[in-house]
Amino acid sequence: MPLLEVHELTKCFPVQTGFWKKNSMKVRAVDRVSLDVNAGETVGLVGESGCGKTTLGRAVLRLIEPDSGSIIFDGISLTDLSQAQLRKIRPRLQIVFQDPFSSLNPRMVVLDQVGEGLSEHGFVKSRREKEERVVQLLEQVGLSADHLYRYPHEFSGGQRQRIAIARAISLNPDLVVCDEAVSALDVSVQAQIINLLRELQQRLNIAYLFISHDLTVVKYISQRIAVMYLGRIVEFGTTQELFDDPRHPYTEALLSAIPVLDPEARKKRIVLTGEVNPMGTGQGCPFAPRCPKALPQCHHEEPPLQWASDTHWFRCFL
Amino acid sequence: MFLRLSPITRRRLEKFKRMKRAYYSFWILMILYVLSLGADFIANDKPLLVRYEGKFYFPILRFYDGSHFGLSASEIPNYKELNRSPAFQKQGNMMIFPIIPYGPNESLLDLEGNPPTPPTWRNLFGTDDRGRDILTRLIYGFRISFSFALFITVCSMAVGIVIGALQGYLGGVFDLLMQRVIEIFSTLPFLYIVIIIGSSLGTGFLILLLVFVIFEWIGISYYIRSEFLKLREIQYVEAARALGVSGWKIMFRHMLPNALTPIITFLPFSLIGAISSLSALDFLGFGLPAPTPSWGELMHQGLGNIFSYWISLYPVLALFGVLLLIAFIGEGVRDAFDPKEYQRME
Repeated sequence: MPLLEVHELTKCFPVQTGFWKKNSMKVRAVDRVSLDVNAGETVGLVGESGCGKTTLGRAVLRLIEPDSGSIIFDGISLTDLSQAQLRKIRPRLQIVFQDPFSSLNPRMVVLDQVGEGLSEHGFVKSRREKEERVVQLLEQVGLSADHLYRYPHEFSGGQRQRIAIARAISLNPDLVVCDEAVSALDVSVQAQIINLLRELQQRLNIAYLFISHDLTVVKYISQRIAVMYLGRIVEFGTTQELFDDPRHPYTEALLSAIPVLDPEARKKRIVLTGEVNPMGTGQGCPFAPRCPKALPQCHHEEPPLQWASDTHWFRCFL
Repeated sequence: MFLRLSPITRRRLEKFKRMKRAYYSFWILMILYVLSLGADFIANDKPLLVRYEGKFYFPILRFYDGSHFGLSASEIPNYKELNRSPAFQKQGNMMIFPIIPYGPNESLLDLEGNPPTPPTWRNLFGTDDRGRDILTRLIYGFRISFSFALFITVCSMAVGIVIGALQGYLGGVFDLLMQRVIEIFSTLPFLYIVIIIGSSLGTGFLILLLVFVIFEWIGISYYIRSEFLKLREIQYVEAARALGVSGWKIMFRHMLPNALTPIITFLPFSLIGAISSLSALDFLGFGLPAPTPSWGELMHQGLGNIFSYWISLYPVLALFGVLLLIAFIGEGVRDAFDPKEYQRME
């Protein structure tokens, strides 16, 4: 049984237009998404900006309330929990945010930020114990005891992200949602943080839901990858399968955009035309208006779910 | 939080210190207020120290009945009369009075001419229409009005912060309902309500405080609400939620310290508002009950005795001075908290 099973999860945001705000429309940020993550595994979630990746990541943790669908975590249905019950299970599900500058409270020292969850859930009894545990955590993420009483503004972006990671792993989580966790960093620092995440995964057996728009990063860290377009997951498979045999035209287009070093091996870049319309018609495939291979039925019929292998599915007529 | 100041707070304090006008105003006001807290030792009709028949007495600190001074036990000693009595005028007996030897409610009966009497060396600011020393009443009035204003401000801030924070943090139906309540409250005319309540329930300290707080919390709740609405979306608040920190702790540990700027910049101006409306109420006769010394009440007397300039001049000057000092402080605080200078840190 997978650690996390997301089934038909939907989150809409109302968009009100007009003077009387009557013609309210809905943006389906997350549209009937099904996904699963196994223990100790990394599942990458890629898609262009605004496709609902972040909303999905937050809805999985119920940081925003999903409209419908279910989230089963380790046999517990998260969507049925009350706020109080949810707080008890929070330690097992954590999140690392994109922007290391706003994810740390500017008025709290590192000790209190990293140790907050520890004392909140009774993992530590005394201040001394909290200090010891926080030092351990800081050492695990490559910082040291010298940093305990510093404020966030005294750190660089990469160091701040390490602090955020230390905070996320402080409660021994089973799953960490990495929401564009490396996107705001320099490439060299990105590599350090990704290696840190992998190292922690091996040592602590954490599963990651790794959200990113950068395919190369996702390829490097993930065992399986889900491709998202306008709230829908259009293709889901192991990294190998997805890169070697992309089935959905959108995945093909994304892969063709990855820079390749060898000029001989370069493929033709698929350039998408048209604009993203998140309001959409709500009918047919959301990608149809921009799809180079669109068939007539794509515009009004829901594309069927097809299996390329036991571990690889996609939503397309092709 | 107060022991180990965060670097932002420390920088702001330093900047406030650099603004001389605000910084000195702050100290002047603080010294005046601390002095006025000890007003009983500065202006009083009781002596600081009495030596009678070889024993020492401290009438300001303790009550002594008449038996201590050779009077009957049921008599309350009048120290000034006692001082003049032949029985007291013996070797070794003495009394030391405070610098201003008049009580706030003491009518001076030995004035030359009818009260109100103009300023003399004895009564620097003159006396009011009941022969009470105006300087003394100014000092006691300052203590009462400033304490009252502080009290109102702190109480209304507490209410405003809690309600504004809940509105901003919870949002939704609670926010909507509270917002309507606030709209209703803010349309009620404050002075009329005070006057109506004052004339039906009487004007006690508590009633006045309650009415003030009911109206004053609205202003601050707007600011807190909008700050919290903004902060609710910030990632460190979401991270705290993901850690399973309880709502109250998120509100008061993560959000409030980052929402303090409007509260602190608002505070001096809220003090000004409280002091001036209390004076206005006293002026109209609906403030603190007589004979409480108060600036507004003196100004009211000034209106009745328009040619005795000293009755109205000194309280008006005192009110002006204090409000100006607070306004200077407020200005300094606002500049010190100006976020534009610290945009990198915020």
